[in-house]
Amino acid sequence: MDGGQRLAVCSRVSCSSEYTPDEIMTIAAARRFKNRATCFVGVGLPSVAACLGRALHAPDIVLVYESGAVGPKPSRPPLSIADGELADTADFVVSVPEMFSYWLQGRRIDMGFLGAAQIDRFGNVNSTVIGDYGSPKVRLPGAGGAPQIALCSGEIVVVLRQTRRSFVAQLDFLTTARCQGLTTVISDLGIFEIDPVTAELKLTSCHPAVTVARVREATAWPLKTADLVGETPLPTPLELSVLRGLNAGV
Amino acid sequence: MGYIHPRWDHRSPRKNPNNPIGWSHCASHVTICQVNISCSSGHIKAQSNKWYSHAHVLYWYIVCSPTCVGKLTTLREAILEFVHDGDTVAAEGFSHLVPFAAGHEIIRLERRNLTLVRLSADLIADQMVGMGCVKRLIFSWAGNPGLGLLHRFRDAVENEWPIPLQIEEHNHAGLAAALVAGAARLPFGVLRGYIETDLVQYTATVTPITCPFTGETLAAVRAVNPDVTIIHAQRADTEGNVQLWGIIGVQKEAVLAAKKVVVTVEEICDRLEPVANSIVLPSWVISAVVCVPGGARPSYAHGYYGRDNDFYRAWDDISRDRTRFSEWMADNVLQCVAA
Repeated sequence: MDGGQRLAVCSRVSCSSEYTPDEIMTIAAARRFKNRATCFVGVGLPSVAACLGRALHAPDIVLVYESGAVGPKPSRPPLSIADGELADTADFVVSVPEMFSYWLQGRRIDMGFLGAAQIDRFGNVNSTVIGDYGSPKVRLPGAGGAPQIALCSGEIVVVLRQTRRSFVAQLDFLTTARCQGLTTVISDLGIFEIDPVTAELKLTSCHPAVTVARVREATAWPLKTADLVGETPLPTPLELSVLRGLNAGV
Repeated sequence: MGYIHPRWDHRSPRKNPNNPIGWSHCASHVTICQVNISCSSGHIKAQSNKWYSHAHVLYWYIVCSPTCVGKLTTLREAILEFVHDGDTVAAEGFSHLVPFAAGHEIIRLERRNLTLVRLSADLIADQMVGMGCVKRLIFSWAGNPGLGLLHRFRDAVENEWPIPLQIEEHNHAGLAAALVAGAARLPFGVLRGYIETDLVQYTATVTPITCPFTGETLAAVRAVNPDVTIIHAQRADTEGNVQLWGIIGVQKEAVLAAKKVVVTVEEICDRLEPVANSIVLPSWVISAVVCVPGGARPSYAHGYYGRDNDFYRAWDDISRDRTRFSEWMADNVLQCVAA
């Protein structure tokens, strides 16, 4: 974790610990993993959340990595999505073309967890460039497997840090089109879900100690909210200790 | 130690109907070892009962073999022979078995104007781009896995340093489909998705296509057929058959899509023992095999050594600054001797 990040101080008696915005974002994402589901996980934070979910409430989850590992049981989050431990502990390993054609396009995947650099109000995602494609201000890694994961997984959860530069009114580039399956976006400030009527993201939950006003401030479009905006349950001591153990092992 | 497999495929007798050596009628697997033994006597007897000098044998060996020429026993010689300026070169390995040693040899030999094909373009692509070898990059992801951005790639795209870099950008499914089509010698691959994203505006090799059976709009991706594909594998046998396992990425497709194939391996053994999930690439699709232990470092070779994650972390700093990058390459790549 970034040592410079602000710490949220928990004021409740039930929780005596402090946690970072990244930690509650990861924990909120981990809670979404369903036991026994087949879950496609991207590199970085989604992968950490997957390991946390598997360690806590979803021991029989089938993790799927685009490198070809199906059903790996990593003891710690891999730095790269093709680490040796994934192949060692996988139920089986397939080639990249097989992964994308048979398993993803074949619609064998229940859930997909993705990161992003920018997201818009409809859940379209940019992970390609900041600025103009031809002469970008920042050239990002690009699409990878994300467009196909979004298109072909049953349910999609996007996880990213929230600022006005990441929750944008207009994407600099459309890398991954919003798909039928997108249900949830989880940031370090709150949780957003797709409104079935307007097809827009609406704020459904603020993380503890975060106000709706603050979430609006960090969103570059006029944010809609649910009629009743909830509060994300606090990280439990168990969640935090397991997460920190996982991160320490990276 | 090096090993070269000169294969006579079905094209050679037609190309050279008067081939005086007549190797095309011999066993299809002719190893350099046998050639050396033949040549060590100074002469070889051909089917026409004429005697040919060592040089004559080598001449025919070089001129007549369509897939593998000359006596190539080192990585340097393999790259000299099979990677030329302006070639389309696929260097594959999905964070595992990344052919770093071969990429470094390409850098040392100052190959230029290459079109580099690399699905998951990571550090070796960054190094080749930063050293000015690459004119065009065909890729679907370009980053430092788990750590973020690729700074030399960024500098090339954003600032044209050291030279302008053209890009042909895909997503993984698209580029994988292009290599599958290449391996099958089909003109294009087909997949869902893709066409609703902005990539289609910039990547000319992707276009919508209508399914003739259902009317569904799909994406067609032009096949990729590299001039040469380079991979690293765990091992080869003395015949030049190659075996790899673990995360196998898109190596098989990249190999079969290519006109020529150079493989570096951790070891050469008498016999390939079965391993779970392993794939075998037969010697007759491979142009050259070179034994380069550690040839995938700092990536890893499953069953041989682990990934040097510390180096990947360090690369983030090394590669941020042009001068530091250039010094690092000079000290750690340019001044090193090839395997």
